[in-house]
Amino acid sequence: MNKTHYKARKIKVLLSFAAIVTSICIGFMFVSSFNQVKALVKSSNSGNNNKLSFHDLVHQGSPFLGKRSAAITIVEFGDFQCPFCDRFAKETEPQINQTYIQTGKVNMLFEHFTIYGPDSITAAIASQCINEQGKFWNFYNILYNNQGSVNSGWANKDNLKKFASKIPGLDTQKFNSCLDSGKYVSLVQNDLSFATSLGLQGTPAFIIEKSDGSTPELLPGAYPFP
Amino acid sequence: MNPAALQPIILSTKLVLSKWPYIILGGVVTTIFWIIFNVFDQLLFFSPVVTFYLPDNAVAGFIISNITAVLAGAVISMNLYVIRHSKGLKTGIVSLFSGSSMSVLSSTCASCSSLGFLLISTFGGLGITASTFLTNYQMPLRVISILVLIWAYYSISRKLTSSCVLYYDSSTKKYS
Repeated sequence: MNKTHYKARKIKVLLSFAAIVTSICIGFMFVSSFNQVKALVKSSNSGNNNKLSFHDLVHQGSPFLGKRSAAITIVEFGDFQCPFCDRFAKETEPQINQTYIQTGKVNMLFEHFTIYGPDSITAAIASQCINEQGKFWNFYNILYNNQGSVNSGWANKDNLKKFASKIPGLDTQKFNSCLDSGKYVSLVQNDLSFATSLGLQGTPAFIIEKSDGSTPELLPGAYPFP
Repeated sequence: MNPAALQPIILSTKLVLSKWPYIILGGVVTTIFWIIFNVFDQLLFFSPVVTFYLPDNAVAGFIISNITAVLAGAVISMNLYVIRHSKGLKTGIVSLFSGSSMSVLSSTCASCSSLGFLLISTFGGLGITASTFLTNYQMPLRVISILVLIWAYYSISRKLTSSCVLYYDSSTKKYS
């Protein structure tokens, strides 16, 4: 009898433990999301919001889409290996582009948040080399259309050169030498540090703000088109 | 499949689902798991407004996560029934835990989520390896977790129904 009671109590303890772990998981999801928003608001209030301004980010080399004069800026923090970034690129981005970017209401910037590993970094560097020639968004689509298993080598230098050769009008020699030289390694590292300093914890993440970097709003995740 | 093998499942399901508290418990657990899976899958968002959407490339994962959520709800409900009503019976806690924890883990696109980020920032290279594995083998892991939960459901059903069977010993002419 005692043994049965002991077992039942043990199971109850285990189930309580499971309930607590589940609650912690849900709590963690909400708290981490709250912390990201908090970090952004803090950054904005401390007068550092110019570091998020469209002008500054473009000046630092971030690829952009749309008119410079647009009042609203969307900053995408993405990784070319992230399946959810791929989903955003295929499902939501074309609709945002058509509705808001092409009409001049919004412009969009891309920041590299390379949290996946080696292939992410190589792909990010390659995309910056392409950006030198103003073809970043073509490459953006090509990379997501050819996304492979994480760190499987799908984004090694040889493959990236093959992808780049599909872009009409690209100076491939210039691109190849840029990629081989690792010219944008530090830019990609800086982007990662920047995203981390904002408290971002996953990809994709979006900041929607006025183009001067004020009133930033964070959207963590591959949201659908509203 | 042998229909006799399904008998314990049908009997035990009828037994447990005849009581409202266990239906409600199963429903609550299923809902909690459904929310967790869909938040991790970036299909369900709570802010700035509650949003749910299902793009074409997420349909397979959504179906699998629904099956897992329902199974987890059913198995937990059944385990609690066993704890309360069948003294001396062992519950399928180990298979339940391994099935549900594996399904939660694999439903996370480890590298995309804050959980994956935590993993990578805490464990560095090892974290990258772990999150790469979870991301690349997400679907097979989810299928395995469903199989483990089915096994948990089946084994607890058998235990629940077999306890009602009386064995007749013809030599002693007694039931045991």
